[in-house]
Amino acid sequence: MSQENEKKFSELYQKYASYMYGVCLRYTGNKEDAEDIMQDGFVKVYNNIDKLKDIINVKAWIKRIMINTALNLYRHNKIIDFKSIDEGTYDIYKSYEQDAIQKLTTNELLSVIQELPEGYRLVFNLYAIEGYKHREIAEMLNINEGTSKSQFSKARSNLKKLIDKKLNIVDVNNEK
Amino acid sequence: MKNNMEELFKKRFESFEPAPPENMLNNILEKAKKGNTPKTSKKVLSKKILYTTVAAIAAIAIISLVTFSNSKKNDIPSNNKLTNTINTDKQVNLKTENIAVDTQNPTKNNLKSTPVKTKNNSSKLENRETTDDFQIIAERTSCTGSAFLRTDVDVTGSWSSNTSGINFEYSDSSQTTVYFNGEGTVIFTFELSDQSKSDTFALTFYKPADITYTMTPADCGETNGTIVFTTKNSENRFFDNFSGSYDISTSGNSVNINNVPSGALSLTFKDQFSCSYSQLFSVASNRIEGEISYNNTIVNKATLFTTNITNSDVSYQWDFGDNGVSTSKTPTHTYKREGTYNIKLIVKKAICTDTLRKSITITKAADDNNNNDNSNDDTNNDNNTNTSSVNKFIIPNVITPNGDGKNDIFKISYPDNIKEFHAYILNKSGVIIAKWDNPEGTWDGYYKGEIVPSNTYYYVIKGIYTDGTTFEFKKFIELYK
Repeated sequence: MSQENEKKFSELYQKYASYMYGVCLRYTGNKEDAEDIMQDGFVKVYNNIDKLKDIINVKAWIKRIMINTALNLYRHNKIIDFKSIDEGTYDIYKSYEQDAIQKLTTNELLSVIQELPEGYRLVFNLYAIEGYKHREIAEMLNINEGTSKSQFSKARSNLKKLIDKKLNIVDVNNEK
Repeated sequence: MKNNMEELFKKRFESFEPAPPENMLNNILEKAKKGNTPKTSKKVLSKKILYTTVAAIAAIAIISLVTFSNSKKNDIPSNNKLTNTINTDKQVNLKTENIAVDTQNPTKNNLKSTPVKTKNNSSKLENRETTDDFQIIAERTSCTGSAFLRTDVDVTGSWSSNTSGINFEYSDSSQTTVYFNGEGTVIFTFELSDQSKSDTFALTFYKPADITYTMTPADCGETNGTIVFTTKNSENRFFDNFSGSYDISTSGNSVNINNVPSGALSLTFKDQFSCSYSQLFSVASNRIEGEISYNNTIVNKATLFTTNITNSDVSYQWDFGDNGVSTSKTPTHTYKREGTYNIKLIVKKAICTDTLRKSITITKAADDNNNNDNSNDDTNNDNNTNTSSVNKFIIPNVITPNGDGKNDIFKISYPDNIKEFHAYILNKSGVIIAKWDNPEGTWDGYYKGEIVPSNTYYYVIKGIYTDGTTFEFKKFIELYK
């Protein structure tokens, strides 16, 4: 790699490392995995730095590499059970969510995401935060569109429970 | 259209930029250049330790990676059950260090961890005369399914394999990750663009352990559940190690876990390749199955409520939906007004609890045809429901959760023109100990599964009327047992 490219890479890294680390943390259950993914992802960026001139949105390009790296890891580890835990979903009042989410710091929200089971976490990230369509997620994860949808709604109700737990709120009615 | 929750998360994480680990950039550059370095400084081991580790792992012979330098394709021995090294007249590179084993912390041996890597063939590289004289180096990048292949010198050419279903991340780069969703030994070939030289490499893939399980849930509150795991793999290569202290017995390709308590539990097990799998199991439904029945739907007549619950030692907490409550197993209750009521029954046995629901529509007697007065002037009547209209809130200021059927729960009456509702109960230190978002909701005096002490508590009830105006009530509430 030329000096020039290496300089370019370092600049890219300085500019996007923090954000990408945030992305990696969201897709994994712990720091160690996030670091692994970030490292592997940036090595791919390094190896493909020549393509940079054709890239319009550099941030999105790097982010996509990170996400793919994360998904590859899980895809090939085959540890995601996309249909295991069946928990009831329930209606959530929007304003309540807004309150609750705003009470938590981003780091607390991150830890809530990290507590989600693997499959829920991937689908929640892809759909809610990255904004992919269920159809696209289904392709990425090699699952049915319906599975993606149901995973998402379960992820959502799981998240709400975890947020409640964080806020020390109990549901006295034992609603299912 | 996505709703608030997603938007809020999205917004938050758009600007989420935590500081990455300090040595990350160096690690990346090092790895990118050499293709092959320890991940963190902590894992940099002395050569001696590494070789010891390599030897030890080689003895386990989890995978075998054999390279045949510059041999032709048809020279490859047809050995498809590589469990240890196969030597040829050329050098053999045992790259067992690529297995995901953290030598410093064997317990933290994670399926997802990046292998500790060492350099291979560095001495040979120095003796090399031309860059044409290359060879393939391979590493596992995960326990199963993928590997990282590269040539030891940067050459131009392309990859191929003798097996279909192999995916190359970059088939025309001298460094690539390969993915294989199957099992068996695959021969990879890298051929120079001018076709002057090629090198091959045999790599054995294993499928993740294919595990199924059946379980017999524990009875509610008991520890008499069982889970039986079986593998469909031809080789028994899992259940090396369960975490958790359960009564575990292994026989053949299956593992039995006995004395499993009711509730959810997470089990981690490792296969013989040190790949670990975690799974959350809901071993028992903490549920008491049952259905509510009643024998009357006429107003001002006693209705008998029953269930088909057969469990013994169950406690019953009835809420008839009109402020009437009971703790009897088969209570009777008389509705004083027509309307549809939501019956709720909380059943508890040991740690298990469940809520059964059913609605009942109370109608006037068949011969009583002139009394259709559902007027809303009677705000003194305690039996307000969501179908009878009241035009104001009635909020109790005392509750006595002692099971006598009077004031046992905190339940409000409310006008029907509200579109949003929130209720919170706080203790004296301001901790929210109960909250609900449905005006039909109640509080039974419990917090974290236990009834709270007799004391003064505080409620906040707020929301929005259908016309957009808001309401908010805050006041003390006394709780006596």
